[in-house]
Amino acid sequence: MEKLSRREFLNQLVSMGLVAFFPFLLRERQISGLIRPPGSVFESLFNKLCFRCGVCFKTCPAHCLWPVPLDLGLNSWGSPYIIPRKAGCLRCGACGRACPSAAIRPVPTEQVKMGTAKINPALCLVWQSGKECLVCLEYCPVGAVILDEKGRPSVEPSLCVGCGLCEENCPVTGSVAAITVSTKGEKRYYPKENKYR
Amino acid sequence: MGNIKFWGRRIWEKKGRFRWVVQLLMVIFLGASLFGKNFPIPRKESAAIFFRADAFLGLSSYLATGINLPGWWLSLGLAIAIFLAGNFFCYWFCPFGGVVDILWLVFRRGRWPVLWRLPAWFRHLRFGLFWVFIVASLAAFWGERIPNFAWVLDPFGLMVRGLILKGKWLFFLGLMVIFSLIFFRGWCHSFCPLGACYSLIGMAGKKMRNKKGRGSGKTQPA
Repeated sequence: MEKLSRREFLNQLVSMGLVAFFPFLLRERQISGLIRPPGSVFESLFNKLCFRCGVCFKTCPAHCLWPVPLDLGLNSWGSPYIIPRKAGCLRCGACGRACPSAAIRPVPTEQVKMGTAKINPALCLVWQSGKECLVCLEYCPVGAVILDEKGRPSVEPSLCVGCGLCEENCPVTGSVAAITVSTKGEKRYYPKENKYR
Repeated sequence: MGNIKFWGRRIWEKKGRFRWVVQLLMVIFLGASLFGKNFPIPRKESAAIFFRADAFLGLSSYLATGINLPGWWLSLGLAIAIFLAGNFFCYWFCPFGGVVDILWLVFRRGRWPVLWRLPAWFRHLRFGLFWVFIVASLAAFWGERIPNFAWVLDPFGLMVRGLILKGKWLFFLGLMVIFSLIFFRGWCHSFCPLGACYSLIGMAGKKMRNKKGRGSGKTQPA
């Protein structure tokens, strides 16, 4: 191996110093509301812990995990998130068991809370035209979709786990379903406290 | 005991060939853990074991978050072994290195002339990159919203990500493999922060051994 001259070494040192300062410039101003896999640690820690190895994508039997594209933020780029419209989460916990970086932890199924679904009455077939749809009611694994006296569906936030199976199967055509999941009310793992909240 | 000694000596004498076998086994192990359906070790363990042996990722994620990598003792054990025996990892156990070496053996060995050599500063770049990632990890610990980018050039991440996610990740992996074929182990020598980490550990061990040996008169300083 050839030895570096002093000038080369100093050049390298200065350029490395500049590059090392780079993360400060990449500070994210706002942490985005991405739906993370069940058992994920809280967002800022998640972005630091996740290796972007892709093992969770491979392990997920529902194929509901996708890598965050670059335009959604450099900080979370390449990390896993759920797009419920493409596929909902089965809450099997396979990603939590497979994750080598501890960004996703194994979590008991009854403690999973990834977000909350909400019905948009302007798009819902039952709300708009009184059709007998209720696909969301059939697919909901926790019985969070309830009907009012006129047979129109709504979501009970305390029961909803945010799995997104309703959004995946909603028959409303287009990229936006009549029922959508947001991160509202999600539970994340806090390692220092050793609990989900 | 005699048999063990005999086979041990045979393996050591034939270590060039034995190294190829170990490298091939590591590549097969990685492939089977990612794509095999009936792999003997539980799949969650088999895929994760490479990352658990990764001292660089373990160190950077610890510095950035204060949280130990699960199974961190594996990378610690490997680091201790490298400290004692020198950096054997890159040329024996690294699956990326294995792929490069096997492809080199198949396509390049003695067939293409070596036209270009990387400049000296470029061949030392990995050490600089290693310290950049370590400083960046410390910065990430200091600021809540500062990202930790240690994963970008990690060889296991590069391979697993490329093979699973495909697309641009696979393209980047392919590019690095081709780069390593044009300049032998170019990626390992120039960019690999894990290789730099293990080389530094190996160098530290060697330095310490030489220091110890100098006083006793039993060994020659390097």
